[in-house]
This record gives sequence, structure tokens and C-alpha cells, in this order.
Amino acid sequence: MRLNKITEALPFLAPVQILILSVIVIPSLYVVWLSLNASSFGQSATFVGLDNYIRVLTDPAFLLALGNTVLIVIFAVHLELALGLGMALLFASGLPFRRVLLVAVLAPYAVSEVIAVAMWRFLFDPDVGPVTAMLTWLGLPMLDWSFEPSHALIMIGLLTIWLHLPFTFIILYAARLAIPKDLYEAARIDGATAFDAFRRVTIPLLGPAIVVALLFRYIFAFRIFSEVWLMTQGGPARSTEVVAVYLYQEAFSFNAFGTAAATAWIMVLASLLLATGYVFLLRKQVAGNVH
Amino acid sequence: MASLRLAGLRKDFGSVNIIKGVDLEIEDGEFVVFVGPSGCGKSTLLRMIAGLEDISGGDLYIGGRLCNDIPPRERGIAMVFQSYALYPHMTVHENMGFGLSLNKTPKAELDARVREAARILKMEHLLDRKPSQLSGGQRQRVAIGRAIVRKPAVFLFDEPLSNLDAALRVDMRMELAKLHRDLGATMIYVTHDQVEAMTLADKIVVLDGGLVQQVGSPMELYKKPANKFVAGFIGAPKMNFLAVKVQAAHGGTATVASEAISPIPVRGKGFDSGDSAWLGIRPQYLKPGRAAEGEGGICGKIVLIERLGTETIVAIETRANERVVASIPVDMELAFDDNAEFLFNPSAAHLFS
Amino acid sequence: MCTDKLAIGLGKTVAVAVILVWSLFPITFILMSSFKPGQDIFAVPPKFVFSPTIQHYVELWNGWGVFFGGLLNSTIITAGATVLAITTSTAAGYVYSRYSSRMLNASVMFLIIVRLIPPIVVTLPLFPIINAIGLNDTHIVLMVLYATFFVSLGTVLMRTFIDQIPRELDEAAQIDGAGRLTILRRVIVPLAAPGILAVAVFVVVFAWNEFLFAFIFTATRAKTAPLVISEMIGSIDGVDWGVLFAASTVQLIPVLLFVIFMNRYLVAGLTAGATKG
Repeated sequence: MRLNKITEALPFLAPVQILILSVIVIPSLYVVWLSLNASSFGQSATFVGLDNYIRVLTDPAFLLALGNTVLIVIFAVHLELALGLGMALLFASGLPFRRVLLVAVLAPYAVSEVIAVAMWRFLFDPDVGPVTAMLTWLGLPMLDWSFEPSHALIMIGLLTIWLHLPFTFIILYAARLAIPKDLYEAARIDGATAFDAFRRVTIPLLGPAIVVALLFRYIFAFRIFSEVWLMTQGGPARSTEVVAVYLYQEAFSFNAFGTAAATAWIMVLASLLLATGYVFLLRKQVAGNVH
Repeated sequence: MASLRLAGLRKDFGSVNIIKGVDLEIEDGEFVVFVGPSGCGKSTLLRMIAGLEDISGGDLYIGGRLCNDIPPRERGIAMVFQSYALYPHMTVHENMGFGLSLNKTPKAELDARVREAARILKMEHLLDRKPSQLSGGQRQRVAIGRAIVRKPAVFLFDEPLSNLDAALRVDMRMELAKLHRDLGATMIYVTHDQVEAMTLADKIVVLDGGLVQQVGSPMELYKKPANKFVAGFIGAPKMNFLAVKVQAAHGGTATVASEAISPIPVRGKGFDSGDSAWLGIRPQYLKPGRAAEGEGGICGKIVLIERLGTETIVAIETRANERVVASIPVDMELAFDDNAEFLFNPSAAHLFS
Repeated sequence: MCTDKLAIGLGKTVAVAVILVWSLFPITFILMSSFKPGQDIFAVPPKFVFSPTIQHYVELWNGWGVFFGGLLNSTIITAGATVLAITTSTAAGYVYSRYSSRMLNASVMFLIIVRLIPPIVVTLPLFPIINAIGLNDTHIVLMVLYATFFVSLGTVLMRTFIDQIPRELDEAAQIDGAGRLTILRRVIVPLAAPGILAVAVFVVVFAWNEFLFAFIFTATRAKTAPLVISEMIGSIDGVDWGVLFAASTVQLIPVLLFVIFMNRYLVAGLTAGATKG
């Protein structure tokens, strides 16, 4: 019907498109231009080609930040996936008070990074932290996160998992609930044990949801900023910086907008690369649904 | 009240023609049924009249006014959807009064009109309910009530009974017929069910492949189908079609024969000897027995017997491996694989090219 | 068989207990500690029985007036961002659900891709621009930023929810004489309420808790509550944990209750958001 007339649709569509274009797309493209120029706040720019990218990619501080980011992404996201999957299966196996438990598991979603960091700093405080006390009591080494960079990264990883586990859990749990019950009954008739059913029915059918959860978390963990900034500010001596913190330092501490912009586009490209996989998968899923 | 005129109406989706040029006159107060198999374009045609689909070509006049580019609300129409399309968040009263509330009808008048429609449909007690609290038949009434409240010149029905169970469908069919008599409004009704078409219509429009195949009263279509499609579509069980050869033709009569049928003369214009043709015989016109001189005869092996009580449906397979169905009004001794013979009066047969 | 069942039951109970401690202990610890008198906060092992006091809240009120200003700013910004995100994405989601053309389909892909751009990227060009036009440290900047980073997800979510509303309802309303805007307001919005609430949960939680943009684009006038709390964490003269816990509790309770009450919509939104892009 008249629906096809684009002029009628435009007023409904315009606000969203204007917001996205003016706040995200055009600024992001402007960042490309910035990244090809040497400039700092308040000064005019000079074109330097790919210099900024080369400077960033050869900067030991950036490489360290990149390494830290990748470590956090790999360590935190996969552990989070394993936990989320376990919890999803536990919930699906039937629990009393499931709704209440579900809400309890969702609770960390409401907590801001700032407060989460405050919690973590107190719980793991080397002098007075209850978790530190418990670790010592159990004869385990405590996390000396304010001096030992690797300990700090473990803390940040745990914090990220704590904040985002609700997301991963919900995605997997919803997918698990979507598997029809009679498939399991059929598998039992076919003589499958519980483990067989898990390996041959659950895992293949959860496959797409697992990949979706993973990619989302890769992309979002890769831009981690607040947790790190609030926990260590990248210190001691820039040893716990991640890519987003490096970017912030370049831009707002050292006024080096050119290299900051190059870093920004490296982040965008990395995300897009990860996302291509996601889009590809989504396409395949859509195509799969059609058949 | 209004008459309608469709002149060369066309609808294209991209390069696909859904409606390929429909010409039709609908009189004021007529009950017109669009019938045809799914995908024939009947619903699209109705939606074009409603204004829900753009018109790609041709002209649509409602009450003498060119309506091609007039929005639905100004066409003086009301529509009952197959899915009823009741607003789930509104009560029955609000559903029926929604259109009036939009054009700022005073509250008292709105209420009076909703109650009047509810009274006509005997559902005054349902006015405060939500659609989810109603049965299928009640929802159907609300959908019709919503149309009545608008006091439209033309009612449009898009397969309104197809979501109801068989018994309810028969009841609602009778109510719709009564509603038409009481309101006297022009009604256009789309269905794929030829029984609904036969029982409700003043005028049936048979559509296939985006073209009008025939327009006429139910009995005209039944007795004088314009082509093989209409003949096969109207009437149940379906008309039998037998492949025959024309042996001789003169003056509106053709003598036809096949492996299974000995030569008989039937009405049929425009045939020449040697033509291939289809001989159509309704199952009701086949009688058990051996054909006498001047009668047609078919024999074959019984492959199906359905005893329905008032009639028995028998299917035989002829020597030419054609299946022929007969509806006989008596319960006969019949058995599978027996040979059976049927006769028919040539004047009841149709010849199609 | 019987012992097996017992073992499984026991295993499940332990697992549930661990999950509950993991999820809730940090939160309860903060809430409880904010009412603990002075030294009890640092007691090892942590005290679960103590005589509650509101001394930290009094100190917060007296010493950190800026925090309450921050709360007010957070409230204004959250409300603004939510209204902006909901109205714009509902309108766009409606069009995406009901109209179809090659251009629209392409722009859905565009909406999905936009979500992949890390927010910190746009701070680089926006920072000087916003300073130049004098909008830095104002509510409107954060409102627009927060809304914008959720309108793409919001639009896709609304489309998914509106797709579930039969088109015949639009058509019935059209025949009843409703225009586009009336259909949207009187038919679509009431029926798409669960979707609107799902988008609302996302935006409210994000806007209420966000740190990065607030940190970069506000200084004093529009400073949000999380930013004030971050200053408490980083204050040079040592952290006053009692006051910090009191402030955290005040900031956390509203959004926690919101998520608890809206958990159904949050779950629906997360699921739809992940599977539909």
C-alpha cells in the first residue's frame, strides 16, 4: 500500500539516522582524517600519511596495552562462557525458585563499573579485604594487585566476568530453553545417556548461541576502559594499560590526537574484523531459517 | 449505499502481474462474492478496493467517485479481516467505536451506534470484554460489529469465516445473509469456498490467474460455466472431465467420442471435426444403468465408494484410465473392482476446448 | 538410584549456593557495610551481626553535597536519554517493521555495524567540537550521547517486537480512519509496550551507570553520580570506605530495584538483541 512511499517513512526514520550520523558515523570518519595528521588540541594539523599508525604499532606501550587487552579478552571471555554455559544447563535441569534465582543472577547487571571497582578494591584490599583474608586463611597467595601487574589483570578479568556473566548466561539459557524437550526424549529412546545427549544434542543446538555470545563479548571486552581506569589507571608505570586506556592517555594526557586517532581506528578495524564473522554467521542463520 | 465500477484494474508487484485487468460492475446493494483458488488475486483485488493496496493501472469508482488515490477512510468502506484484526488492548466497545472516536464523533452518538450494532449482532453482554476473552465466533461478531458501526456504503469481507469450525461457519453464513437483507448495503466477499459463494452471492465473480473467468448468478455459473476452469471450480463433487475427439460438428452441436464413450451429440459451438475437447459431466447427472439410444454411457471398474447417507459417491476408472465420479442418491449394492455402468443425458453435458 | 539422586541434588544445591554467593555477596556486602559502625567495616571475618547506624549517610550528606547534585544530574540525564532513545527508536523500528525496500534493508546492516564502533572513538572529535560550541559540562551532551549509543540496538529491538504485531491491525486502523502517527500511538505503542520497556531497561541502566563519557564531557555542573563516586575512590587523603559504601548504596538501590522489577523485559531484550542483531 502507501507504505512504500519513502517520503512518508522519512520523518519516522530521520531522528535515529540523524543521531547516528552526527554522533557516531561522521565523527568516526573524521577520526580517519585525524589519524592521518599530526595534531594536538588547539593546533592546526599537518598531513603525515600513515606515520601515526606506524608510531602506534611500534610503540612498546601500545604493544603492551594490546597484549593486556588480548589477555583479558581471552581469559575473561572464555571463562565467562564456561561459567555461563554451566549455569544455563544447571537452570535448565530444573531448579526450585527458578525465577528468584534468575533475578539474583541478573543483579550484577544493575551495578555500575564504578561501584563494582569500589567493591573489588575493598574485597581484595591487601590489608583489610575480606577476600584477601579468606585467601590467606585458606593458605592461598593473595592478589597483590596494586604492585603486581599480572595480579591486577586477574582482578580486572574477574571483575569483567562478574559484571557481564548475566549477559552471557541469559543468551545461553534462552537458547537452551528453546531446544524442544521431545528431542531429549527421542535421544533417551535411542539409548543416549545424559552425557551423550549433552554432547550430541545440546552442544550442536547451542552452537549458534555460543558463537553469538562469544562474538558480542569479544567485541565489548576489547573496548574495556572503565574497569581498568578506575582500578589501576593503567599503572603502575603503564604496565596494566589496555588499548582504550592507551588511547585515552594519548589523547587527553599527552594531547597527541594523531596517534590517539590511529589507535581508535585500529580498535574499530579490530571490532569490524570480529564482526564480519558475526555478520557472516547471522547471514547463515537467516538463510538456515528460510529453508 | 453505493455501486462500484472497476475498469481495467491492474496490480503489479515489480514485474509480476497479480491482477491483469479486471472490469466489473457492482450494483448498489448487491452481494458479490469473489471466488477462486489461493493465489488467484481475489484478496489483492479486495484490498485494492479497500485502499490497502495501490492500484497500478485502471480506474476504481465507488459511488461514481474515482477512488484510486483516495485513502481508505474516505472511501466509505468497512472491512472484516480473515484474522478479525481486533485491537487486543481495547475492549469490544472500544474496538467497535475506534473509527468513530478518531473522527471525533460525540460520545453519546458513538455509544448509541456501538450499542445498536451490538444489538443487531446480539452481543450487548460482551461489550466490556477484551478480545482475548472471546471465543472465535464472538470475535467474528465483533469484527462484523466494528464494520456495521461505521455505517459504510460498502462492506468488504476477506475470507471472514475461514478461521471458524465447520458448524459455526454454517451459522455465521446464515447470519451474514440475514445481515445483508437487513442492512441492504453493498457487500463484497472473498472466499475460496465455492459453497459460501453459491449460498451467499447475488453475483459471483470467479477469478483465476489475475483474470475474471466468469461473472454471473450462482445458478448461471452452475448451469452455464463459461470455461473448464469455472465448471471445475463450481459444484461439488467436482465436475468430471473426459478427453474426447470431435467426430462431426454442425449448427451448435458436436458429436464426440473416445475410447470409453461411444459417439454422442452434445451442445458445443466453435468445434471442428478432429478437434480434441473435454467433455464435462457433473457427478449428479450420472445415473447407474446401461445407456439407451441417444444417451451417453460410461463404464469402468469401481475404485472408490463413499457412503454419505443421503448420497453415495462412486468413482470408477475407465478403460482409458480416466477417473469418473458419480453421485447417486440411493444406497446401492456396490463392491470394489466390480464393473459399473453409468448413463447420462447428453443435454446435461458440457463441451470445453 | 536413590543415592545418585541424592548426590545430584546435593551437587545442585552446592552449585546454586556458589552462584548466589558469587552474584550477591559483593552487593550485599556494600549495602550492609554502609550501615556498619566505623571499625566493624574492617572486621575479619566480616561481621553479619552489628548495630546498624546511619552515620556514614550523615557524613555523606554533610561532606559530599556534590554527590547529591550528581544524583540529580544522573536522574535528569537518564530520564532525557531514555525518552529520546525510546521515541526515536520506536518510530524507526515501526518503519523498519512495516516498510520494506532495498535501501531500508541495507540500512539495517548499517545500524548493526554502527554498534561495533567503540564509544571512546567518538570522544576524540567530539571533545574539541563540544568545547568549541560551549556544550561541554551540560546535561544535553550526555543525554544525546547515551541515547545515540542505544538507538541502533533500540531500533532493531523495536522492529523485532513490532514484527509480532499483525499487520492487519494497522490495516484495520487505517480503514477506521487512522493516520500513520495515530496508528503508531494508539495501536502500535500499546501493543509494543514490552519492547519499549526492554529498550528502557537498557538505556536506563546504561545512562545511570555510565562512566567514560561522563568522565570526559563533564566537569562540575553536569557531573553524574558515578563520577562523584569515582572521585571518592581516588581521593588523595585515603578512601573513606564508610561514606563510599553509603554513596554506592544510594546510587545502586534504584537501578537494582528497577532491574529486579523489569527482569522479564531485560531477559526478553537481551535475547532478542543477541539473536536479531
